[in-house]
Amino acid sequence: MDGCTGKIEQEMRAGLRAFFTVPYLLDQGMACLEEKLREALLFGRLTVLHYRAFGGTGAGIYRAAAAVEFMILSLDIIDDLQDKDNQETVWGRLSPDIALNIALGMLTLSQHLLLTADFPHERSGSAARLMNEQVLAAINGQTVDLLNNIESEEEYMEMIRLKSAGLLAAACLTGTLLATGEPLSEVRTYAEELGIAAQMKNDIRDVLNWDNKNDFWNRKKTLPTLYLLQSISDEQRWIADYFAERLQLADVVNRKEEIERIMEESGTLLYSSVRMRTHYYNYLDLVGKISLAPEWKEQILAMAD
Amino acid sequence: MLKETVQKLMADQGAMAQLESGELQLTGLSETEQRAFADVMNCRAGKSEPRMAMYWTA
Repeated sequence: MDGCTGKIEQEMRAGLRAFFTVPYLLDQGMACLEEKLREALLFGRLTVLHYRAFGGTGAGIYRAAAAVEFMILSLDIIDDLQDKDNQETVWGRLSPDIALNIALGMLTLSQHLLLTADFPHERSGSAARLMNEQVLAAINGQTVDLLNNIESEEEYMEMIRLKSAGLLAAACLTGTLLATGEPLSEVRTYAEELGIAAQMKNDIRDVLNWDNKNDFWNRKKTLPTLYLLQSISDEQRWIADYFAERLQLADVVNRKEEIERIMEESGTLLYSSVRMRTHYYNYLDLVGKISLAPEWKEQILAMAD
Repeated sequence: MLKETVQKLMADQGAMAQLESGELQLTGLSETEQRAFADVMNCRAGKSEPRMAMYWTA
C-alpha cells in the first residue's frame, strides 16, 4: 500500500487536467482537490486495499480509487452547498453556482475514470453500475436528511444506511468487485457497520461542539437528539418546543450549560456512545471472520483508526 | 432494550452506582452491547469532563 495516496492523487490531477479545460474551472477544481488532499483519502485507499486483499494486482486500481474519491468529493461539495456550511473550505468561498458546477464535473469525471480504468469492460461496467446505485441511494438518504422529518431511530438508521454507510461500502465493494468480479456481501456488511459507527460519531460530536454547526441549534434529528427528545421530563418540555419551532433560537441560546447537563443526565451521550461502539465492534468482529490472510485483516481494521 | 436500560439507569442513581461497582449486571443486551457499555463506562471513570469520554477514541 506504499505510495498509494500519491498514485491516487496523480490520477485525480490527470483527470482534472484532461477534462476541466476552461482555465478557471481547472484552477478552482485543482484548489478543491488540494483541500481534499489534506485528508487521508480514506475512501480511495479502502478501494485499493480491498482490491489487493482480494487478489488484485494491476495498477488500474489507482484510477478506480481516484474515481471513488471524486465521487465522494463531489457529494461533499454538494452537501455543503445544501447545508450552507463549511464556508471556510475552498468550495465554500466560491460562488455556489461555480462550486456546484465543479461538483457536477467531478461526479461525471468519477464515472469516466472508472469506465476507462484498465480492467475488463465487464468488471469496470459492473463497478460503475454499483457506484451509480450507491450514489442514487445516497441521494435518497440525503433527501430524508434535508427534509429533517424523521421521527424514529429506525428512520434515522435507514437514512444513514442509504447515505454515509452506503458510500463507504461502495468504496470497499468497488475494490473487491474489480478484483474478483463479485461485490462480496460480507464486505458490504462490515463496511456498513463501520459507516454507521462513523456517522454516529459525527452526530455525537455535532451535539457537543457548540462552536461550529450544532445539531441541537439546527434542530437536526439524529441519534442523540432523537433519544433526548424521548427522554426529557415535563419540566424539560421546552426542548421539544424548540425542536417543534414553538420556541426560537433566541429563547434557548443562553441555556447551553443546561442543555449539556440534560444530555448527560438523561443518558443521551451514554446511549449514543454505546450504540456507536456497538457498530464499531460489529465491524471488528465481522472483519475478523472474513476469509483473508491476517495481514490483510490487520490493514482493513487499521483503516478505522 | 438498550434504550430502556439506559433510561432506567439514569433514573436510578443507585442502580448506576451498583453497575459501576460491579454489583449489578446488565441483562437483555447483546454481548456486543454489553462490551460497548462496559467500555464506555470505563472511559467515563476518572474523567473530569465526562462528556468528552464519550468519543470513540478516548
